[in-house]
Amino acid sequence: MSIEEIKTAPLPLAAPLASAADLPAVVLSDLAFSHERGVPVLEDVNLNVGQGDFLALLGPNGGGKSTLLRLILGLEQPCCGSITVFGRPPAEGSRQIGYVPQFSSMQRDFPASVLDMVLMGGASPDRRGGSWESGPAARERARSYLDLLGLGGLEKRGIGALSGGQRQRALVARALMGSNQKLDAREAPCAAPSPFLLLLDEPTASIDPEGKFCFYEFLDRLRGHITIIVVSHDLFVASPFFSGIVFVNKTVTELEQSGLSPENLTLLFGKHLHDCPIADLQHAGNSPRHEGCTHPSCWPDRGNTV
Amino acid sequence: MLASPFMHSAALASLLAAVACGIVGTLVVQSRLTFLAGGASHAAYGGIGIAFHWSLPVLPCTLLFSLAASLLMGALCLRGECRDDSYAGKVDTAVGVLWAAGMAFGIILVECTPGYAGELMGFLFGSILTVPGDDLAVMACFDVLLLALLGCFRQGLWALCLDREFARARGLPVKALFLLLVGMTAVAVVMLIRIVGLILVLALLTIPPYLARSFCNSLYSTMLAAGTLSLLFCLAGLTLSWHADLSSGASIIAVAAAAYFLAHIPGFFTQRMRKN
Repeated sequence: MSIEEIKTAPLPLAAPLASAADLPAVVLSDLAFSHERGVPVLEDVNLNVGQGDFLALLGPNGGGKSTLLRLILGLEQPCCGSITVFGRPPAEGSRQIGYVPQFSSMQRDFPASVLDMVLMGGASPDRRGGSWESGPAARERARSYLDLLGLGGLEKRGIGALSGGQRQRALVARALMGSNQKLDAREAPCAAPSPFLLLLDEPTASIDPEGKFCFYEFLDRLRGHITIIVVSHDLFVASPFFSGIVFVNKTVTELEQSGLSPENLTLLFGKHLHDCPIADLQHAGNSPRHEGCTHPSCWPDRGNTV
Repeated sequence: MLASPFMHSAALASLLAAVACGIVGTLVVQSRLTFLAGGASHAAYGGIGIAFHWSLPVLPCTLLFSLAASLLMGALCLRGECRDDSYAGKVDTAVGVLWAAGMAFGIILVECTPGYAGELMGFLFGSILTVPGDDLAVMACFDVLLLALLGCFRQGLWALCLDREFARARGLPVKALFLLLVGMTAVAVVMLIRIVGLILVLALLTIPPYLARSFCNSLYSTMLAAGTLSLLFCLAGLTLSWHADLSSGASIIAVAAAAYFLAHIPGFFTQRMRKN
């Protein structure tokens, strides 16, 4: 299947959600979280994510983005406040959440094929420590997700042999397997859309810029069909794709798509006083653009930012 | 050589050890638990000391002690994962301390016991030629236990080794699975101590799976290949020790280590050629 065919092929997912839904995908109210030592990570977090949203979480390192994802997943417990995912506590909603962890969490030298890895996405706990379907139906579903994400034909390849961008897309396919309902419209036409939340934690941190754009392009095919929240540093690459941007730095601030104003950049990166590209953007053209910044404090995370 | 009854029991012991080595070694290498396995094997000497001092059966005593020590190390590792990086460093040290403390405890107990302690060298460096028939039966039971555990918790262990963070997010009991794997490691280590001794056990546990996964495309075929490789290493090492009159445990590890280095030679040259 060529790239063009993939892009024009009918989406093997349920029809787009009819309305912004009866039930919001995620509701965080008065949420606070601190580490065991009592250092507060998040305070006074209020956020309402509608079904079908494609939301980006941006913010400085240590601002609490990943913690927020882990709270939604139920991997961390808040100190106070409440979290609901499709109206239920996170622990009960694990069949409605697909998760793409940071690049480093998967053992890349693990001897497994792409298809086996994707099938694992349907894992659920049981008395035998967890199991998942691996029969023909599950394989067919896994193949449809791999096709959707442009990985058709690579299912037998070892996971170590994928490029960075291919691997991240395979991880998205794995996360989609987590749905408890068939997302395949070919088998269940006109079925009620399955509420499903896809969480991605810095999915493109290790992909080159071209691959990043390509990754978001594939991800964009899921827009409207499921709810997506992505932790990202790729503000400039990915901003055309997001339906909303949320800045996370101890608390959350929702912004519209066109939210890249100097004030927002100050909110995102802090006040930059030195000569650097961020400071230039914050001054919004009042000062000339410099060739990179030599001051280390301006680039706390040179590899990932911008 | 083949007519010797010692060799028959040694070959049988190699086969039994290869099963454990294939299953557990592969899981240990894939989940990066080599350091913990090393701790489990060295701390096992404490169990040997207890058995020797109070005249208890060696294999069960060693197993219980190694199991307790490794589960303690496993629990510490789990706590380390929940906390920040500085705590993970403390855990690393704690495993190292348990590694040495268990062994020191065993040595002191042995020294406090009157009589000749020469046979204990067999536990340090292995004594595959003198494995008693009873121990072979116990080893066979351990193999059955390991196979049963693998059969039952197959997918859970698979998920644990591939992506622990994702398994946790899916609600899988990652902590319990991790402690299960640590317990299986202790069982395998105690079995392999008989073959190559506790000092050399790490090599036999890690080299076969490491080599096997380079030409296998699934976890189970890696286990099978690793088991076969470990059997081959044991038999080749035995032959070497027989003909050259060398210690069996060291010969087995020498063969395995030689295979490890030989396997790296083609890669080394292709890298050099690429650079040039």
